[in-house]
Order: sequence, then structure tokens, then C-alpha cells
Amino acid sequence: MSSEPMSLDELSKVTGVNSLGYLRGMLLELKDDYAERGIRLLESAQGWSFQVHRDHLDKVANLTPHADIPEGQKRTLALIAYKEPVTQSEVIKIQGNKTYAYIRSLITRGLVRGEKHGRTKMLSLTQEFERYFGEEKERVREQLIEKLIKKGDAPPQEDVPENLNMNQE
Amino acid sequence: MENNGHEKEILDLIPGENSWEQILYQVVAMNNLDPWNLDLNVLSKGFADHIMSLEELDFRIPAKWIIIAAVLLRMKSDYIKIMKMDREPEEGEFIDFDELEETEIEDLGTGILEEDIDPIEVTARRKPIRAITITELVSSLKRVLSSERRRVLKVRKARGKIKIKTDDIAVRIENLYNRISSMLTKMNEKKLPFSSVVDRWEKEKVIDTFVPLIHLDNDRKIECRQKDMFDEIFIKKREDIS
Repeated sequence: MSSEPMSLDELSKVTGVNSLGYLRGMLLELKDDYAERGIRLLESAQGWSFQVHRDHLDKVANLTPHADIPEGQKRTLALIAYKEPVTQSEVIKIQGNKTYAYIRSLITRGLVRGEKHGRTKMLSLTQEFERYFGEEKERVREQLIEKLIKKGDAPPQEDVPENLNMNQE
Repeated sequence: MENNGHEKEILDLIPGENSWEQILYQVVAMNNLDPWNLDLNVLSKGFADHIMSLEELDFRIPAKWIIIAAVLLRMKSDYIKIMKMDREPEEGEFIDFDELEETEIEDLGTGILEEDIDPIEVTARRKPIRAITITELVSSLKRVLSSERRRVLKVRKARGKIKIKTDDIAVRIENLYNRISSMLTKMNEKKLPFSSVVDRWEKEKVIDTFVPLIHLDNDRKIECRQKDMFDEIFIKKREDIS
């Protein structure tokens, strides 16, 4: 009943199973077992956790207001997902200085990668991001733009990333 | 002497910073407790008595001391096993466990009931958290983009307010030099106040005149002197100085 994902070491202590390989094997079995259910067992950079299946998340999201990514970080992640690849300096210019901390947290969490790019960093999305949303990052971006348009907020053409091939009709 | 002794006792009670440890040492020493095998009953009672005597004297009791007393009490309650009584206590009868020897406490009961009693558990303050949805990501993106648009519009608006002169600075420098020369000739003076060169004393006009002025000074065509900050600037032509 942990509110945070649990690492293999923590699970080993709780269960008393000393062999981490054996424990991981059991977790993978359990993961397969849950694959077709509404709740999934996920392995992330932070550890193992149960999560509601992405397909049902919108329906149950209102049951708890507490998201595992704070609002500031969520905005930064949204911006990176939308403009990727984007430099850290551009994100800072848009969101302000406090964004340095948000970017650091997102990198630590494994959702974003930062590679040295001159005097700044080039930010991009990771496989962990894809695992988190259960979609390829391109598909997430497409959905972002589609939903923006549906909400009546068609992004200006210059805002649409050049590398995004989508039919906005 | 008796009074002095009493006074010292009271002064000893005054709580000092971090002195709760000293009180514990004092209770251990006064009751001849074995530091390696502490009697929690005596220790917690001694500490509680000390706090009570402070209360009687109306001294302020640090919150930390109350926490220490609560911890000791908790340790004591963990230590004293919950016993099943052979007989129901008579009405008004109070059994003071502190006054009883350990063997007497054991005599009171026939068995430990721990296994029959649900342990008191502190409810975990578990905040249910969930992953964010793409819809939420869109809302966040919408907020970022709208604040970005507002920022860009603000910058554009501000830029629109500033009129940048596009005429040639060299021409402006030359014009100003000619103007200064003719004014000095007309006035038959060697120096000229800057305020007389500016058409109208307005911010933009002052800047428009001041910029070519400092160029002229830098080119050593004129010399500008100002006695104090924000005072009048006096202009002299270099050729007049030499």
C-alpha cells in the first residue's frame, strides 16, 4: 500500500524474498497476469507500481485530485512534448526561471532527457515517457494538437512543430 | 539555609535549553537506576513528576519536554503487558501499577492477552495519487501557450511604443555640431548650457540631442562639463579651448 513506486530492494525487504532475480521474475509474471485488466503493474525508473490502465484513466481521474506530477512540472512536460526537440533555454524563456527545477525533476524521473547543446541542453522525451503514457511520443503529440483544436485552441501554424506530420483538417 | 536550599531546588527546576536529557540523568541518578538496564516505570514517573512540579510553580514547559514525556509513557505502556484481571476491581478501587513490584503485577493477572487484542495501528496517511492523463497534459499545454502568447503580445506592444529613429546618426551629429557653433557665435559666448540646445525639454527630445552630443564629446570636437550629477551640462568647442 505504498503511495510511491517501490524498488526491487524495498519489495525484497517487505516480502522477505532475498533473490532479486526471482522477485523480478514473479513481478513480470504478475505483470502479464494483469496485462488485460483495468489495473496494470508497471515498472518505471522509480520502481514498481500498480496503475489504472490508460484507456480507463480519464474515467476515474476525477476520483483522486492528486496527480503524480505537480502542475509546474506538468506544464513543462507538456511544452517539451509539444515542441520536442527543444532547447532548455527556449523552455526557460517561455516558462521562466523556476523551470530549471522542473526540468531537473523530469530528468530525474526519467521522462525527459537533456543532452548538452552548446551552452544549453537539448531536451527530448524518453522511452519512459512513452511507457508512462502508454503511447509513442509522436502519437502523444498528435493527440495534444488534436485536443487543442477540439478545444477551439488551434495552435498557430508557427507553433506546430515542423517535424510533426499531421492533417489538421 | 533552609530557604536557600528550597530556592536552589526551585532554580534547578527551571528548564534550560535541551535540559531534558539532564533531567533524565538526574532521575536515573536519584533513583539509583542501572543505566544499562533502565526501569522505564521509574524513569517515566520521575520525568512526569518533574513536569508536574514545573506546572505547580507555573513555569513554562517546553513542548519538547511534553514529547519526551509522551514517548516515555508510550515506552512504559508497551512495557507493561495488558493483563487479564483475576477479579474485577471493586468500585472506587484504583490499582497504581507504579506502586507495585513487577512480581505483584504478574500476580494480578492470569495470562497475557496480547494475542487476543488487536494491536493499535496508526492509520497510514496515504494520499492516493495517479498518473496524469493526456487531457490534463493538453490543459497544461493550453495554459503555457496562452501565457506565452500574452508574453509575446506584451513584448510586441512595448516595442510598438518605442519609436526607434532610423535617420543617420552621422547627420544628427553634424547638425548638432553646426547648431552649437552657430548658437555660440550668436551669443558670443565660449560655453553653452545643454538645456538651451534641446528644442523642448521632453524626454525624447533630450535623448535625441544627448546621444549626438556624447558622440561629439567622444570625437573630441566639444567638451562637456557637469559640476554635479543632474546639474546643467556646459558645452565648449574644443577649438575654443585650445
